[in-house]
Amino acid sequence: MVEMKRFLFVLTVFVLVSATSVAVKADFPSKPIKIIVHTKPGGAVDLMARQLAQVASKYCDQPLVVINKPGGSGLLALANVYKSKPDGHTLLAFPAAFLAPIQTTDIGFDIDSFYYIACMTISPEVIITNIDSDIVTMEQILEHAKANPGVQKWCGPGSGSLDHLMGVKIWDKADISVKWIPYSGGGPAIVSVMGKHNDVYIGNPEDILGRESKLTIAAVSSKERLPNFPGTPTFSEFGIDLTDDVMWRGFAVQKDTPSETVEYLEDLLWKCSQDSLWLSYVEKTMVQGVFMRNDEFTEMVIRDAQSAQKYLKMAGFELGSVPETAPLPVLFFFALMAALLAALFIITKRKQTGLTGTLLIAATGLALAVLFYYISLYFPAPRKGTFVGAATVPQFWAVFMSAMAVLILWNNIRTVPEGGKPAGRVRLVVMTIAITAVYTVLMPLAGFFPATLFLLAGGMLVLGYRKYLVMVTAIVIVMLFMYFIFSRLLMVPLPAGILF
Amino acid sequence: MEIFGNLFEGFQALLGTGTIPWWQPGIVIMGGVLIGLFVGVMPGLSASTGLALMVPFTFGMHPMIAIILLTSIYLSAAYGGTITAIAINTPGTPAAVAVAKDGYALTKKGKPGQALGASLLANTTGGMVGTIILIFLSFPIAKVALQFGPPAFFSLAIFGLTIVASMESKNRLKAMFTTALGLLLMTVGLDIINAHPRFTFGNTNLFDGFSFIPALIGLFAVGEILLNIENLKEVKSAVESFSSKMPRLSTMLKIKTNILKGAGIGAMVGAIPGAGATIAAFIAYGEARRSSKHPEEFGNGSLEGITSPSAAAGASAGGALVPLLTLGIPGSAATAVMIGALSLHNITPGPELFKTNSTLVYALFASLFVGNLFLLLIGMLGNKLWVRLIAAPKAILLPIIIAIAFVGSYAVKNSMFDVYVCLGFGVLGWILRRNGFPTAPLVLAMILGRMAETNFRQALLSEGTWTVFITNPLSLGLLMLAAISLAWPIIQDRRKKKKVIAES
Repeated sequence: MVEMKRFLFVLTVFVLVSATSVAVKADFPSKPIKIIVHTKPGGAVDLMARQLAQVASKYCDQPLVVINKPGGSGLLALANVYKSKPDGHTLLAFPAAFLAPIQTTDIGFDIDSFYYIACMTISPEVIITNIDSDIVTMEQILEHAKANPGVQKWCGPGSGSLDHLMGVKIWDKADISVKWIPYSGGGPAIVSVMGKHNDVYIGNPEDILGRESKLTIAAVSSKERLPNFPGTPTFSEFGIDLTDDVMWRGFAVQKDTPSETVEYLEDLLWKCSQDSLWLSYVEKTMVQGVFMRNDEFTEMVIRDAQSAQKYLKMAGFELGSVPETAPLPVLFFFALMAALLAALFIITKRKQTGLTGTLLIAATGLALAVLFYYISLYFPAPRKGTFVGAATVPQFWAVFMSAMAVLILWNNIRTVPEGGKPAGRVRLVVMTIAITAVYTVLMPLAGFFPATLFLLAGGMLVLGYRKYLVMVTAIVIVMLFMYFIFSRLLMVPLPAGILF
Repeated sequence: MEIFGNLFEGFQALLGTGTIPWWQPGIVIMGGVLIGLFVGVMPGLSASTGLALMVPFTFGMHPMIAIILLTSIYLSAAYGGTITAIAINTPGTPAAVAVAKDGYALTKKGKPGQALGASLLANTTGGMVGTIILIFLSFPIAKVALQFGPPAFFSLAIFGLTIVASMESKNRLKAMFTTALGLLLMTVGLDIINAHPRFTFGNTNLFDGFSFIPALIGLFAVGEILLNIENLKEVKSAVESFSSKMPRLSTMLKIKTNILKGAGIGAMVGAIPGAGATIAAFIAYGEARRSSKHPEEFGNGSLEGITSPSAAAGASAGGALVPLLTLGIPGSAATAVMIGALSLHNITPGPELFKTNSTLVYALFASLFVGNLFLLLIGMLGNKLWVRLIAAPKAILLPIIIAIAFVGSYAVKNSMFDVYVCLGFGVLGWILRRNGFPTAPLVLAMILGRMAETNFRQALLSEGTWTVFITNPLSLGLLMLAAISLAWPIIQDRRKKKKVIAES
């Protein structure tokens, strides 16, 4: 007992001392620096961040860890850093692609919510064509587009994306009219040009790497011709004024980060930018390694953001105005559900057939389909020149689903359900669901491992397992397994919890 | 034949070169196969996530070692996914959903060994056939693959959806209902053409729609567990002992055409950029049922229903490398990661690679053969282990699977929201299944829904007319296949009914 007390005392002292030492120690960094990346592992920005993390570990006492927060066109990554503690331990890989989603969505932060530490790479925007098609060179593109307005097909990733806006700019300055076919990413769009389904792809020089036998660059948006592509003309050679349009990638932090910390990070990034490993990586990916400090970088961000605003409007995006949405969708759904259930209840009572699960599912499905149809009525009308809009396909599926639901209702409402399987241990299932729900709430609060302990022990007990030794052994093995695989090997940032 | 000479050099390279010690390639392939099996088994970790997480480790490796490590992981992930699909009806990879139907049915009959063995043999045979197709036919196949424009992709998606008719012959109406539900749920998120947020209720987490993998894990893993809990200790009489006996070779030889056809479908569909293993596995399943002499066994533990999609999944790994090596474009998410990893080694995949670094290309081919052999070996050794795992007490096993399902859902995007999605779809899966609504069509619809809509709208945008789906020959052909695939199982069933009536 005395031993135990002494142990606890030592432990407490140790915890207190280490806690104060962290608080007192002003120098940065005091823990690993996270680099938040908005793509899945393996994307171009992700690979850059991982390379930087590797190089930076030479110059920094703490490791740099890349954490992927994909989704919402980068908004989830932006929100994550915006909400992080402004202590410099959360770095955001900030590509030019963020400018459009920040400005088109009303999300609570803006481009001035971040402090731009340094821009590390730039790459000019280019247009790429298929060598074997009839439209290969810039002359041919312009000539064909002027003779056949609205026929040429240009493609690239997404709508309102950096590449799309580049297109809008080119069409505006060259005074041509073409079609924009958005794709889910750069990869599929390039494939479509290789298969001659589209005429022009907007991207960056690295996009033709390994595909030189099929693709060529028609024009590039730099002041001078690129050293790697001396035969490729610039836009300005055709009187199209596009010289400082580059796709840049840099790093930013939350804007309230203290200035000493920011200076440390700037210095760290500068050291990386001069490192031979970093330079060889930059060369391999065909981007241009640069080092723009805060003032220069911020100026570029603001300039490009303003330009993006102008061309987003030109592309038909309404900025600043909240789009009209269907009023009270939730109320609509529940009212519909209530009406359907009441009708079902009355009919089944009269026919004495009983309210089966199948009927309830079909009724819920019907209400859901009608809800989707109702919400989609308020979607924007198809853009000029297209006759299928955002609402078309959801409405089609909603009608299909309603039809199926009505058929199921019709088939099942008149027949007395067969005996079938009796309901099993539903209470046990509900308890398991409850435990699991508590687990998902507990995870961000108490941290992943305590929550998982709760789930495993709770689940096993509820299911009636009573051999405690086996239970404890199994739980310990599973938790150790998860710790080593997910936390250590795969470096998945499992929730640490905020309570402890 | 120059190819054979090159291939011989490739195998030689696997025994070491000037800079690589002789033991290293073998160990790396073995390690890659084990890692691939692991990420396949774990719901939430797919081949592409597994590859991406391994990329930083390949920085310091010799380029050849790096590339064979990545391909070994890639080729074995498909079989890893079918292990859990068969054993506990929890597909570890999306493609394994097609195997789960008959595989798990056999397990419920007490014969998981049969199902696992058949799947393993078909998968590795498929992998070999896929590799042979890759070596000899990649350039002509790539030409066909490039012909797929938006109209053809739309029709391919529709064709894929019609497989539901042959998968769920018992309850077609309910299957159509869950298909529609999946299609409708896939419209949630930013609309690709106008970037308009649809049905998101202002939640940025929904801008990309429901994450597919957490939804899949929820519907299958969590849903299956809840069903299991509901029936806990009530079906004691059904099966208490599981046999790990593998199927006889003679049984497998009887269905060799089925396996080869599945492999062919896998290699072809896998080669179409954007189609991939999952669609291949479903199409192979549909075709297997159509051409089978015993279509009534499908869904009740038919070996053909297991081998055909397994072979397709195995062969699609080779297929996906076709566009990578011949055109320099990724055919799937996993090969996209491979391109990224290779670019860091100063290697740009593409036709040039055959000229500039043919040893590397043929070493890659050789490693696919060796990897499949290792996979076969490891799979056979593991067979007993998996079967013993199923026999573990459910009260211990089920909570562990839930925990793994949730950590897997979280790891896809490091997002708590995906954990909630997994739970929500889990409850949905339980409610649907206990009322006789099948969930496999829901998964299929979620895979194909966005592909159908995106390509439908791209086709209309670029052509401006509805007729494009009929005037494009590829699209027309696929639509005709879709009609056959929809009507055939129904006709088959009618005929059988008539026969039964006539006999009685």
